[in-house]
Amino acid sequence: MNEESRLRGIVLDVVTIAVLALVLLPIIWVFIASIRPDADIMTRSLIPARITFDHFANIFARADFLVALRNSLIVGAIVAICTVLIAIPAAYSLSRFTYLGRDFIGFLILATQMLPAVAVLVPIVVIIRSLGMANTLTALTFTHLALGLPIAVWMLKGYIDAVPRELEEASIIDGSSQIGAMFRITLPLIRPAVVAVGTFAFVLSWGEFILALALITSAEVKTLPLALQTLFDPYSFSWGVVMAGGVVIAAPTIVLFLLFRNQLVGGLTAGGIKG
Amino acid sequence: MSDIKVTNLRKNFGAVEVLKDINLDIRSGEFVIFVGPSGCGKSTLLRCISGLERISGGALEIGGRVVNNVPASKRGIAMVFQSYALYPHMSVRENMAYSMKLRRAPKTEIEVRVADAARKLQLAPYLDRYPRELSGGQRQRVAIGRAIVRDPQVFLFDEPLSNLDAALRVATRLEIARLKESLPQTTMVYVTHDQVEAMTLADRIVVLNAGRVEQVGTPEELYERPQSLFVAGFIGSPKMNLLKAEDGTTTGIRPEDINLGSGPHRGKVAYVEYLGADSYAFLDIGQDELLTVRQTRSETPQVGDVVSYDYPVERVHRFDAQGMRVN
Repeated sequence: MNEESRLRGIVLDVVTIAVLALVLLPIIWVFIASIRPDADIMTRSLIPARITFDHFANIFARADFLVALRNSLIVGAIVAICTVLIAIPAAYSLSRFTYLGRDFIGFLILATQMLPAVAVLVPIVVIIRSLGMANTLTALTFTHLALGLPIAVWMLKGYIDAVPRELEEASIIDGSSQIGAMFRITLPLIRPAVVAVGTFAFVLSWGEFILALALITSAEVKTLPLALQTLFDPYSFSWGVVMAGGVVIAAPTIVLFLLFRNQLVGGLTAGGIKG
Repeated sequence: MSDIKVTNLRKNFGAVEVLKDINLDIRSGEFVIFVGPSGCGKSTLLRCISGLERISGGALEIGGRVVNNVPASKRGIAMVFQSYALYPHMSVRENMAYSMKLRRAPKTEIEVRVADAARKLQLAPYLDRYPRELSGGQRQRVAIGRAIVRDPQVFLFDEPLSNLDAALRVATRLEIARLKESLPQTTMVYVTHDQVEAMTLADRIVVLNAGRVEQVGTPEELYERPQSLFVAGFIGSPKMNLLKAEDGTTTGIRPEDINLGSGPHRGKVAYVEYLGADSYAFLDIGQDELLTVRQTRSETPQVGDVVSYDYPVERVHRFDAQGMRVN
């Protein structure tokens, strides 16, 4: 029995390492390629013989890339903040109040997730063009918000459901209003989930490509994924620069995860709130 | 003044009528306990009094003021929940100070009141701990402390001991009894399904059944003179023996009122439950149900014995075919 469970442990470890390698290998390769001279990039070894930061210097010297970086930061930050501000009251209402059509509204919100973003791409582009909002960051912000909000609402609803109603009732008896109870009791308890949802919305907007490609053509409002695409220049193409761009795109996600990792893991496993 | 007057109170959840025409007068400073089987509406009635549920009809007065439309926070009540409902992200001190902070009470007053309540409930060493760091009994004391700090007119308890183990339940029950003595002006309403709690703590007990009040009375009145078959069967452990006659009437006799050894009736001992100080003998007397007899330790018969028994006529409860008391 003991021998068997040890063997099982080893097999599970090997499988975990294999899966991890499979997932991490391309990312590691991107990072290593970004600090290698172009001539070395296609070599078989993963360990770089020479290290250079020229690709990064190169990419940050490009004005269009810096504009794209700024645009992505603006859109990402607004999307993250607005997602949290809209998703909290929406989720709270779905979780705590009883009203006509509540379950149907909840279902509709979830149903929007059943369509892939590509399926709604054409109508979104047509609507935004007819509103005269093509080539604006506003249009991109709204579409990214619409993309991430449904899942954010459902995630938060799950966490609010897990907070016992009695805690809010105790707060109401102690003298607060229902909304006061939400702010003073429920919100602090689901803070990890709020951080998780905000981070998720930022990352979603930060890496979104298809909608940006369809809505944005002018260089001043391009976001990072679009700027990365422009690096594939047939006249002066450098794998190293493309990889450095990839690293810059991945960096905020990694930094956010490292900053909020406790909250994120807590947010994903929360629910065990006991009095 | 903190009397509670309930007049023709009704509560519906959709089409289901959970409370039907409830009338109650709870005097200021009284300790009243609602008992009844699961789903009888006792917790709903308490929540209606607290203001956490809106009533569907009738009137509810606290301290002479109709509070039908007064929010829970303005009713001058405090409530202790079954699950304690302590705020997990606040320390014991913050939990207890919360209501006063909401009222923007001066800091020094908050400190004095919290320290006072903590001393009363032996919580002083735990003031800076979080609820997760406390035992079940300590959490319950914090929940009571949080309610005391508010200095409420009316204290509501929703099955406060049911999450505690047996030994702790006895200790906390005594604490609640002491708390009542120390707050003679405060009206207390308490919900439980535990008869021992009801019998030992209450000034008066309200027995609820299927959303109606079956009987209101002191523990002694309910035990000695149950007004209906339901109350007769519900109050008392082991429950009253109820012997049905062919005409639909019922004769009730408490297990401790039956004397074994002599008498005109006979039964065979089907089995015996030994409880230490006394024991229960279950006699087969040819009816659907066994007859329960409470005996002291030394008088316990053996299984299989055929025994004679008798009971004093004045201890017999009689109920008509509608289940109402006749004697």
